Amino acid sequence: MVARAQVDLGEIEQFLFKEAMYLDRGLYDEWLDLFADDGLYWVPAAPEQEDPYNHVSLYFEDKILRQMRVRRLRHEQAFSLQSPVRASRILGNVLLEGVDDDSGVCRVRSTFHMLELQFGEQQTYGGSYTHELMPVADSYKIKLKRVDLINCDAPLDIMQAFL
Amino acid sequence: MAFNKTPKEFRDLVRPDRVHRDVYLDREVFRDELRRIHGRAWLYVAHESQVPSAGDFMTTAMGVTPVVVVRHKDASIRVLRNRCGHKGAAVVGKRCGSAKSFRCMYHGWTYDTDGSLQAVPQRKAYDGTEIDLNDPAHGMTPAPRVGTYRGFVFASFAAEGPELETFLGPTTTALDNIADRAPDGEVEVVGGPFRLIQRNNWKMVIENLNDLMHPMVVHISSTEAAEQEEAELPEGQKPPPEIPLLTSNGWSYDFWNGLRVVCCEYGHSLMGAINTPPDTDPVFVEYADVLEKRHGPHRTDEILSYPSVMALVYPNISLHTSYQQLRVIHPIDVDRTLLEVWTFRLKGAPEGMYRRCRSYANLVNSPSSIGNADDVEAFMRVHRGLENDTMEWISQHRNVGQDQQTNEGVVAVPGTSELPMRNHFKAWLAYMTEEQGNGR
Ligand code: FES
Ligand SMILES: [Fe+2]
Repeated sequence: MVARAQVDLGEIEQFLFKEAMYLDRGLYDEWLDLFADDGLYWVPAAPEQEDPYNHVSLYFEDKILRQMRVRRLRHEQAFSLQSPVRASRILGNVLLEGVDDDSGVCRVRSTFHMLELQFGEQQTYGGSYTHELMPVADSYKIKLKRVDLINCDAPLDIMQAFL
Repeated sequence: MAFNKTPKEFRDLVRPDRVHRDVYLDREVFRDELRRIHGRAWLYVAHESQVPSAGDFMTTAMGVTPVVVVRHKDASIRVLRNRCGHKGAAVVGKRCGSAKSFRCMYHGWTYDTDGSLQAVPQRKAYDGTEIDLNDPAHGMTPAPRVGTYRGFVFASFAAEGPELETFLGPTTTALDNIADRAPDGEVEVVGGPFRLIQRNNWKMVIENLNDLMHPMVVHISSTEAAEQEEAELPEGQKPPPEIPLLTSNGWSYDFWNGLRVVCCEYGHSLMGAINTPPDTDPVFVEYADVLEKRHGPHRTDEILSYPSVMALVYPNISLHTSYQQLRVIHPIDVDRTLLEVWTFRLKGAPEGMYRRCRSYANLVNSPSSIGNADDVEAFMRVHRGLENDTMEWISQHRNVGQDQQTNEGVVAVPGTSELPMRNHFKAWLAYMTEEQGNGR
């Protein structure tokens, strides 16, 4: 049994900041490593989307699909990346929403704003992150990273990296 | 109707084996297309399942004209221009919903679900003036023709023209096939679509649908990413279905040359099957059983081996039969196009079957698709490249003179022929030049 009081919020925050930094700096191996083996990366296509199974999603990627995207991001002939994609994000309002009694998995919600360079132009994205973090040894593994974009159902340009 | 260009000027832009770059770049041509093509052709607007009961509505656009698709009291579907007869304000602001009538938010003019003007506040103020509020022009003027084929709703702004089925021609078989794949014989839309912005002329999207010379070149990064991933799977692990869907883009020219592309009247086309159903997938096996219980083995086989995966109904939809999805091509501006991607559930099929459709859509049609990103890049580069003054004509010469006439239409020989592009422009020119132009 894991009590809420035993969860170190500072540690969780540092974990999220580190994850954001890996993505901003394109350190994808390090980023992939943050996930549990069965961890999921999910960006719903509809506001308040209930699940990734009964509706399309902007991203719904397990380990293999995440790795595949990283391989493409690094591919010499990924033509749409010749004008590079760069990102910078800031996250805050980190809130521990709950801790699962049995597994100790923490559900953490945060807010993010993000700038991305694509086609030589700046894009903006924003919304909320929901992380389900499983405690391991001296850190966490991501069971789920859910990204709710405020414009998830609006017309979007192509999106190539991770949010 | 006033047009920017004369028929002669349009004829000067299209040759049997090339087109002038102005067809993609000239904003006057674009405005004329909206009137002559999108203003007359049958356009897909919605699926019946989106407006099941009287009063149910959804908004969309025909060309750039905002419309409301609504189920009227008499159960028929009406397609109304989404603009108020008073000062033109958009009357319906929601994407979808249900209403007994539509009331304009500005001065309160109120319309019935057939578009007729029902009520005007202080109506007496118009007494003795020259306006005739009973003139249908002050309503939310409906599209004069609305037609449904197997639940797919089409509308035309032209009062006259070919019947919907005549227009659809051989592409009816693709619409039939999507519906027939459902054990109950009909599909229903699931949720909202993907909406993807593209920075190019709408015709470039259409041309790419049957451009079989591009996959192995454009998609090399996603193809090889998938190949590498497959190669590094742990011993004995079955590759997920996403992998073959991406690696197939890397197949040889021989494969694409052998694919059957049938080009029909009105600019439509049907493309042969690439990915045969993964019949070992337990979900698919269960589904095939359900279908067989309804139809018997012979008919089931006929349905599941229908030979076209992709149908283009020119000028606004591309239909994927075996993965039940529909892409709607919305022109926004001469250099901007919006693609909507809708997915369908097969009524009466095991729930898992939608998951197949959904994962295909996520992989191939999402704004984040690692395959589609390079298509979008190619379209953008073509559009920008054409702005270069040293290139006036765009070649469509590949395999000219080798087309094969059949009962269904003209078959591209080989599959990588540029016949589909020439076929679009044959229809385009008909729309743009004929008085009653209907794209034939
Ligand atoms: S604009 Fe609609 S009532 Fe005036
Ligand atoms: Fe492509």
